[in-house]
Amino acid sequence: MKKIIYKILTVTVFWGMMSCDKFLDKMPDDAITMEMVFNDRVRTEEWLAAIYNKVPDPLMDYTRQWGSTFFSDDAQIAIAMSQFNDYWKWVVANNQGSVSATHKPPVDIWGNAYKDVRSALLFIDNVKPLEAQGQTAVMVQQMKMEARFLIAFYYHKLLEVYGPFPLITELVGADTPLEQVIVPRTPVDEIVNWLDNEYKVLANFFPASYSNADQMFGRPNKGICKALRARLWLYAASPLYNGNTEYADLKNPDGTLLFSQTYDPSKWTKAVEATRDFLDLAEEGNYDLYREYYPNGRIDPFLSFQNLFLKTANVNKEIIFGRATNSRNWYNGVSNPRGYAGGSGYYGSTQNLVDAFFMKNGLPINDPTSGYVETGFSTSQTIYPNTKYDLGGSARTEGLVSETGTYNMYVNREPRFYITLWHDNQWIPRANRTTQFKNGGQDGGPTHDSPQSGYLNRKGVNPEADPRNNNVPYQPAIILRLGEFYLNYAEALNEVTPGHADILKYVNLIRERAGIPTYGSGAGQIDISTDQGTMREIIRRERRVEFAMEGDVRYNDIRRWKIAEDIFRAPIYGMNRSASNNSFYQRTAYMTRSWTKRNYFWPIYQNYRDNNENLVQNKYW
Amino acid sequence: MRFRTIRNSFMLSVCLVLWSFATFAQDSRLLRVQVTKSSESLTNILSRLESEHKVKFAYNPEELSRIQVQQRYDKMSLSEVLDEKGYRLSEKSGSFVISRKPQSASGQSQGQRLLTGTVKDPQGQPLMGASVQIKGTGVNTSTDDNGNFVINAKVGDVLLIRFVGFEDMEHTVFNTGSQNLVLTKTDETLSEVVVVGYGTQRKASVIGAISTVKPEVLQSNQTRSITNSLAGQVAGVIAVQRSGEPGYDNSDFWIRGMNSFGANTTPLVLVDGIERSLSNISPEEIESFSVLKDATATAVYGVRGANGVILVQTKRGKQGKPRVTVKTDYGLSQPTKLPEFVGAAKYMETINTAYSYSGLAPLFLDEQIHRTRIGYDPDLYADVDWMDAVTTPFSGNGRLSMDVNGGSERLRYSLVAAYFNESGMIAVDDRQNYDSRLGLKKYNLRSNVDLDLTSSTKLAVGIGGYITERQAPGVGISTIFSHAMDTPPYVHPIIYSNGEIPRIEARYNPWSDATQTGYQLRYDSNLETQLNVVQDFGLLMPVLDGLKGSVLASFDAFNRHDQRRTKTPRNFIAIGRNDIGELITSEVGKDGQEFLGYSRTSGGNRTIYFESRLNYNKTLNNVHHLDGLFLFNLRDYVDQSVSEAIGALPYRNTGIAGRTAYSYADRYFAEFNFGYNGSENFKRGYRFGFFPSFAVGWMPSSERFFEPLRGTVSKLKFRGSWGLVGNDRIQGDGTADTRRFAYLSTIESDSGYSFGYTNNFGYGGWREGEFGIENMTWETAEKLDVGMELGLWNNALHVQVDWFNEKRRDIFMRRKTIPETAGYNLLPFANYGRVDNRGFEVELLVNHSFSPDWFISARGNFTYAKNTVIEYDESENLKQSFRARTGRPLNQHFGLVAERLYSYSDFDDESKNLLREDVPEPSYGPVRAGDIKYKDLNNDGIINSDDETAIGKPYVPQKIFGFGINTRYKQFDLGFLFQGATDFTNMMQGATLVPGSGGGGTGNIYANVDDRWTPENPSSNVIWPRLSSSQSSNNMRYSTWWLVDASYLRLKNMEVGYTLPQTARDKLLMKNARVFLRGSNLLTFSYFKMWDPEIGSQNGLKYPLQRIVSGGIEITF
Repeated sequence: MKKIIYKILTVTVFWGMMSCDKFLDKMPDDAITMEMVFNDRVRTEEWLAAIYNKVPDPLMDYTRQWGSTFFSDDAQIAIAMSQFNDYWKWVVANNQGSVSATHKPPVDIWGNAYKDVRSALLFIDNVKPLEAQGQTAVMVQQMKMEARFLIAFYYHKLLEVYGPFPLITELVGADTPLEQVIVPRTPVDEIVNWLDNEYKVLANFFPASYSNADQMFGRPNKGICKALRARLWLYAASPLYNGNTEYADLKNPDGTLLFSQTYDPSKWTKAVEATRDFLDLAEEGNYDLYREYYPNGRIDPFLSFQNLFLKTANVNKEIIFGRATNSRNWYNGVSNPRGYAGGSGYYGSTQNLVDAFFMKNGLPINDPTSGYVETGFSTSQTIYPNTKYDLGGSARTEGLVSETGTYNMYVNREPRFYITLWHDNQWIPRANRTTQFKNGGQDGGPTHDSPQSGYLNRKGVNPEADPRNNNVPYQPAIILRLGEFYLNYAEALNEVTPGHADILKYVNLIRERAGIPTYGSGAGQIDISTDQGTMREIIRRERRVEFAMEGDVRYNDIRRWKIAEDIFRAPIYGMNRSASNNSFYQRTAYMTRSWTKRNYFWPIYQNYRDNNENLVQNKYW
Repeated sequence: MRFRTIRNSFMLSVCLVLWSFATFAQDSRLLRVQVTKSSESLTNILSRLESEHKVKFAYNPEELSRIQVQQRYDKMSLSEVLDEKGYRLSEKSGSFVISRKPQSASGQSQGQRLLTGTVKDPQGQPLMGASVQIKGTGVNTSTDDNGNFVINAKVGDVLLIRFVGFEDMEHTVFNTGSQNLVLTKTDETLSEVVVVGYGTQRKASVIGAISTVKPEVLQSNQTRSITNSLAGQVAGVIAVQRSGEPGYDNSDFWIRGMNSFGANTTPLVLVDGIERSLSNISPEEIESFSVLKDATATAVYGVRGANGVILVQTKRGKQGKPRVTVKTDYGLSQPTKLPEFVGAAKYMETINTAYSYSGLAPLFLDEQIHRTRIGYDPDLYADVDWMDAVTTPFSGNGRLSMDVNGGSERLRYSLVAAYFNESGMIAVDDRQNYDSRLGLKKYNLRSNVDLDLTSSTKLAVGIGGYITERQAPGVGISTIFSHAMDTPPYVHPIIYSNGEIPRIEARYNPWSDATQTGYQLRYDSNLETQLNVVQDFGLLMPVLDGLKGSVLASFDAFNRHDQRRTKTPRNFIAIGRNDIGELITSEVGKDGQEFLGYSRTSGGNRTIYFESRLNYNKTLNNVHHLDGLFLFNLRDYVDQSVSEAIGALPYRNTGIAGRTAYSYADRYFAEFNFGYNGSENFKRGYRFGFFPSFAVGWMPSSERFFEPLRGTVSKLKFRGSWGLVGNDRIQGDGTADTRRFAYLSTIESDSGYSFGYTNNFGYGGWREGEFGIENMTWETAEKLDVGMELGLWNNALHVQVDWFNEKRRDIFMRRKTIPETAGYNLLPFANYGRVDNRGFEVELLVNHSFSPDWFISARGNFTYAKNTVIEYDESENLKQSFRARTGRPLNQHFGLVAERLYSYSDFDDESKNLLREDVPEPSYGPVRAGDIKYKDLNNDGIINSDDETAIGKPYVPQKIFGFGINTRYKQFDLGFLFQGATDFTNMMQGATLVPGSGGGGTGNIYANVDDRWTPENPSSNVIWPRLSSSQSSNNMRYSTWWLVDASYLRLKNMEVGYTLPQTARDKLLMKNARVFLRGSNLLTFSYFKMWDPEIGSQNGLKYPLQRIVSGGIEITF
């Protein structure tokens, strides 16, 4: 028996002593590789899809993640919200002026852009036809151009948010010397010209529409590229980018000026030309304002403006570019009165915005003939003709928008007002009651999860949605819509050829859909002076209300016009949220926002500058 | 025949132990004499009885060998036979003594008498097996289990007593009474054996830096995990306990501090030679505990040994009658220190003050404050201390263990069973029909059996396992604490008088979190098995003398199951009272659910380990000691809890290791160790590494020339070592996730996108993942150690000092200087970083017996380890700045230097935040008087990140120490240990840290709120700067203002015991019996007062360490 034991022992010892490098090899070989991605049609498409993922959702990214809406004077959130997540912390810190370059934004737009660009460049380098799997050379070319579009699009966003940035268009290999990666920022004009060229090439390549339009919705087409190019030039021509002398000393270490210091009026011409180019395409029947009509053939302004944000692109020709992937659960949750939505209705708006809306007669409230009354309560219902809108009261009276007893400030305002905002004591159709925004009310303060200044956002809210049970129908996420380009065109044209008839034409198209009298000298029109200065103000005012609470439009506008400092000199006003009775209806300052010269662009995150001595910080940060 | 029985029952070692147990419970009446020949010597018969019945007799062999026993005595009982021959058999505490009957003593010639006596050690413990000889004659005997001996000696004879580990003793017999002899210990380092990597060495010849800990030391702390007993007990171990939560209270520990900012800084822990966790071993299972610190000690572990190694050996059976030790204790625990908050009225006043400083109207009306203060209506004007509400003042814990140990020559066994139970300090609601009490139960069992298969082949089987059951409320403990911090005292009571549970929309009721949310259970079970066969070739072939071979195989399995039985209670908020005084409430949210839900998850892991080795150990000419080792091993570990495929692949290691050691007459020592092993993480060609180490030692105290000094300096040893060790673990960014197979590039799955009018054309997503780095290889630690051991006055004072210098190179890190413009999704890893770590440790031990009754030992140790980052891949830009990490320690705090608070005179217009021209402009937002003013380090007139610098000390202590005394006087003993740490700082932070910054909606206010800046008393010498109604981003920068010195000193353990006197024990048939009273964390001294500094919390909201007082009893049969 002993011998057996010894034999076993000896064998085991020597078996064990065998060296086995193989033991350490990774088995099984199941990890996916780059080759496996691009040898497979589905994975190839999925790689591209991942790059699309960062296309922003205006009602989610621009509001909560980036903060753009809340940086403008459209929206207001409770200061106490800053404790709840990094998004609101970023928003409140910006509002209070306590952001610095060491505060990493909750969504790293800058870093993400470069990651997506790299991913797109890798895609372009590696994608290849896979005939056996049905991936033809034509499809490959289409996908390559989509990747190229996404590079341009993400860089375009970077230009809007951060100003000039290092424009990297070549793939950086793992063996690229560091010196070639530590690159300075590219001057604005160079970036604009590069983007202009990209958009032109892309617009030439993509068709105006696809035969499989549904499947392709969300991908670039001719219209999108042209529209972006139009927007690019409008911004490039605007005061922030065009000869902005405040950035005279914003230079790269080698002395390169990042902002051209001479005002170049030809950029406005470019803007007119580029927008016209797009509008020509639009007017070939590709795009149209979204309108719904009353049985008598008149435009129904309420349903038009409400459903513009609810109807998908197959029936909504106003949508140019949308983020196809989205959900509106959160948005409907925070944009509905708290007590009804079951969550926390805190997507607040401001008195400043309320005051911007026109009256039913199309006049601004400060016009002595507008009929605006700020005190007391209505003694009759506000009923609009020509609309199927019936969300104003329990009786579902057609055209009823406000009941008797409504605070007069909210009576006889233009249709867009009622679609854009919730005010106190307004009917909530599905809840069968009115809003209670006063202190202690079901939907009111004093807590942080209520409208801080007496108003909630209502734009994009679906009256059919049931946010309490997370049952919200699909709604489009509109990044670009035709309305913007009408007003863009009017704005640019007014800078180049003041008095041009098309200026009023396009402003009036917007007003007509909004259901208020148009400008002009005709019957029922509002007669105005069409000199450049007046017209500029008229266009800006129209933009303000048309695009209120719509993602980053207002935020971008007050920056590119360089008017934000003036705007925020006055406090953000609201109703008196601490009152539980009618003294609620009292203009009350909520907070004075901090907006200094530095706020026109975001600060470049300190860590990024630590690794790149050529990367100069934006001014005043 | 008996042998066959053993073999057959071998497979069930537990049965075996029980069986053995029964065999040894012998009764002297069963001892029957067998006389095989016509007559036989009595000693022959006795030795046969000894081997057959596994008993031991104490007798004078010289005398008894002369006595012949005839055939007629066959089958008679031993006592009868002895009686016939004029002797008697007595049983003393389970062993047999054969002595001459008193009446026959007179018959002895030449005045010789049968002399009895006992031999004990200085602590009074009997010494078994000591040899007792009459000097100058061949007459000798040895002591029995109880140290008793009987020898035929006369007055005037000189007895020579010898026992391993003790000085030889000569004792002259002056009288015929019982001789009580106490041996003194020799230099124990000469005889003791130390567990080293893959083997043992005589302590004298150890020249690596190894600390050993007595298992008793690990038992004195009343906590589940022995990791909590390391700080201050083991020189060279830096440990901090960051939480006291049952099940999550393991300490973080490092050997000689941290050496790397890379992933893995924790030591390799080997239990019985196999990589296992230290956390759930019961201290009773442990026989030896060694900490291997320098390269000599760790080089054999090669690519895994860079962070030091901890070796734990579990108890093995010892030859002898079964010894059964039962120990139990029960204690009560309470937190060492919880943060304290102000009451509701004070809270509201403070908030109003904060609002007024922020230029806002008060939030609370005076009437509300007044009603709250007088307790007008506790439903509507609540005043709750939420920290109090979610905790209980005391919680209980208890332990019970049984340890059985014994064996014969051929078979030795050890069985340890232990039970541990602790409950946590989270409140419960007794009205619930389920138990949500926070608590943990642990059951350990370990059985080790050693069996001599042949005279040269030994087989060892070890089976150990544990089960833990953790029970907790439905909501996580840290969530409960953070809600308790977040919920103001005034918002609502813990429960309304009508029984409804209050809550505010989107907020929480901490008490309800703790008591109304159901419960969750976690079951862990762990099995550790091993089989080891050792063959001594020397016994087979004399030429191979000293050569042993062995094979070890093991498998371990761990399983975890989590079960959640949780619910969400319905919540209400009161809005007033109706006409008849009833509370009007409205339901908050509609998600309440009154029944317990059910969900479960599970996971686990298993390890297979194989090792074969050859050992050579020989002494030539009594002076040349040779020691050799050659070993091969492989390990295969599978984690079954991971969700991704890469993590689920087996983790594998393989390699060989070797050692040659030579020493000459315990004077000169030299040793060479190596590990050659590989890691799967690296590509072929970069996979296997050779890790050598060299050490030399000199012990002058063994030299001849030293003899005159030996009375004072009993031991002096110098040693030095140098070597390389490696680390192959690369951590990813996540938690335990590691970046495996670093040479392979990866593709990551990513969020995809859905196209279409209604997003119904969905795609998944892929993007670039990690870069495969072809030449990626292990981190290297170059370790240098110089040590000295000094023993004075016969080692009554023993000092060990080690100085070390470690250089960690090629640390795995993600490159940091690659700009984001490169667009890398994940920055590539590289062998890039470098850290130096330097320090020393001192160990001091004093032993002294004032008398056989009074013994005292004192010990102290001090560890200092300071590391410096040499290379962190920072851009030149950053290296030039104050913020550079290069050149600073790991875990260094960075931030601004707070000078003072702004005074009104710093402003042109304080109300408009307009600072004077000459005051540097802070870039973190507007400031007012009373806000923190920072130093403009670079004098550029603006306070920004360029003014941030290294502030304070690191987060992990650089110095850790402990000192304690154990003393025994007669039956009483007393021991205590003070433990402390210093040179580390904590940063206070938090959204609602500063009173009022939660705006009244969230956050509590610390009780020391009055220690603050006010316009009336604009002092900078306060804790709190200007209050504000929301968090001030200027004030909440990381800065020296919020840095606190976390140094502490605590009375870690204290124990008093009383041992029953021998007579009482004998009566109760006990070998030992002791009652004790014990305390842990009884006193804590620290500069920082708001909460326990050791937990390292930014706001105190962690489950604190526990102060435990317990009493118990320990009995050995």
